[in-house]
Amino acid sequence: MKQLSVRLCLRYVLLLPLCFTSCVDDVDFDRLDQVILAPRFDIGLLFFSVNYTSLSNEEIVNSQIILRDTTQLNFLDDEVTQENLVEIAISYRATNTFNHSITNKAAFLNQNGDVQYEITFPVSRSSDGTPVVTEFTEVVETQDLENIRNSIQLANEVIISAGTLPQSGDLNLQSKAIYSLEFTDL
Amino acid sequence: MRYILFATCFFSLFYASAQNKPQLYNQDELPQTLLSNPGAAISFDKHIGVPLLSGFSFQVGSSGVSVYDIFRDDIPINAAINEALLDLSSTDYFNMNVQLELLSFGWRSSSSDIYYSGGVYHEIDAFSYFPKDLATLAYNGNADYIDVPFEFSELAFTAESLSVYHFGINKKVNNSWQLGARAKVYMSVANVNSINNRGDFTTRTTPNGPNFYTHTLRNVSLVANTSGVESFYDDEIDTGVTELVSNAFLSKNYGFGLDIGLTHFINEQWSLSASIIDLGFINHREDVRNFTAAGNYETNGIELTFPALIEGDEFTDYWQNIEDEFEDSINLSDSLSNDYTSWRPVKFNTSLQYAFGEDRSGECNCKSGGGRKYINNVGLHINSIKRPRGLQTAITAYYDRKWNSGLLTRVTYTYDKRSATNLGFLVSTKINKFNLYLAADNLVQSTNIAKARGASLRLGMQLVFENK
Repeated sequence: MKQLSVRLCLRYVLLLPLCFTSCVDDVDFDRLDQVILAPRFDIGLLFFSVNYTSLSNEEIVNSQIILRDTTQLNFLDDEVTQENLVEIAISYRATNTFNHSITNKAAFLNQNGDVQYEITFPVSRSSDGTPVVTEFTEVVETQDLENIRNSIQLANEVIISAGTLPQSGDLNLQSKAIYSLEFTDL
Repeated sequence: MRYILFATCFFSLFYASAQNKPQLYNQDELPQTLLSNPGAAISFDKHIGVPLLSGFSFQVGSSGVSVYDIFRDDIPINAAINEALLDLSSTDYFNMNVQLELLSFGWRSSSSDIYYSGGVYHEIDAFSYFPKDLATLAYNGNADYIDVPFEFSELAFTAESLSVYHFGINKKVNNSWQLGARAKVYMSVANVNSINNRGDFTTRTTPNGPNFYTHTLRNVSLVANTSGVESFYDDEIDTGVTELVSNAFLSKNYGFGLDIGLTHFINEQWSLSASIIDLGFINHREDVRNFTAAGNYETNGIELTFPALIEGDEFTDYWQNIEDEFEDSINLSDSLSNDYTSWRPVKFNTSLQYAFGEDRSGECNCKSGGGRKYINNVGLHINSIKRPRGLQTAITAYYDRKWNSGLLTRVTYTYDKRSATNLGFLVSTKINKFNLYLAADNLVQSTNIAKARGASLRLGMQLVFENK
């Protein structure tokens, strides 16, 4: 009788794991390869203000005043940017009270100062001194993006068409960029 | 990165109440019950575990998603991740706990009737809340979350590997009370923790500001402490296997803890029990590294000043200025070696049990209450564990049945705020003096474990003696 009981116990215990034998159904772990992280980062870029009084020392060449400034953009050389950037949408908003034709030109430069990519847009003039807002967006993707990746500097030019120095007006320019990244090799 | 993601998803497999062992609580025939209540009523007089095999416990869980939720084959995996990200909240968590008894023994003193027990076990415990804001920032970016703060306070995680030396006493002081206590010495092999973080990152629209946005890091205070893991991220430090094994038995990062527990016999059939487990700490002094970041920072972007206009300069290094300003504002450090103290996740147990169905085989339950022995128990067990943001509680109803020939079974139903279908089971058998037990839970999901949010398995074997 005792031997029978022991056998019974052993049977229970040995069979028990079968109760816990689990299945994994309706899932596909290979799809881990298909995971794509696609964050979009919206970051403020350049901004500046130009007032007519600050132009007093500028030369007028061919009826144009050209203001130029350059900044490093080290993150363009970053590994993440180089490998994962798939699109940049650069937006500008210019608020102008100059009664002059103005063009804003942004040039992406490589380490040698060579232009790799250029964004140019006209800024609407103000005929009566009230602020006029110009908005402009450029989406950079595919081959053009390669040119951005080759860049490390951004030079911004404000070209004011004027035969004489302006006696009034100011220009405020704002910009931002939405960087779309894609990480596939996780 | 791939493995981190996979590990995260794997954690998401299961849900389990962390370190809750409802199948082993109030089991008067199993020595392991003393580890969850040193004042438990026990019916044996001596035990010795099979080294390395006397007690193995594995629990893994996630409160918010299952593996099926992520890897289901009927929708694209990126859509599944998006869905999970929306469903999860910052109070959801992932956890894993593994315990392996290396040595286990106990005996009853014939003179004092005190049951002494001791042993050594190794434990790995990892716990993390889901940092929803930071995960959203990493997965989606900030473009769709303008004016929404990403909170760093959601980042809270702990992970530790340690060996525990313990020795306890258990005594029935009278017919109504059984008391117990257990002293513990913790030997930390590795510890990583980051809790009490605060601050946020916000991109705000600034209609009257100089640029479209202001990006702010506000009231940032981030701290991560590590000990015993420096060799994992510092190539110049080489911690050999021998040293790791040595730390597992005698570490310079050590601490002390206490378990206390009691059982109150209301009458012959009703009993109450309560315990506090792992009331303790570890001081970390050796192989310590602290990472900190603190401060406030704000930027609108790069402001061009057209220096030729102002000072006649040809070039202003705006980028360097931004970097310098950031470094001045946010104090970053990754080379501190300040000692720190980590607290063990303390657990609270309480139960009410009713015994019925008198065993007329002639043996009395002399050591655990009244004079009669019962073959059935029903009980209610509440388990709480303290985690960085408060207690996590589970309530378990159980039914025990002692069958003929040393076979014991328990069926459990555990409820907590995330799981309403957690059925568990224990079977323990004793053949002569040899005891073997096996327990698991989340049986309802066992037909497709991928859909379960948690699972646990416990097993062990030992020699258990009763003086008759």
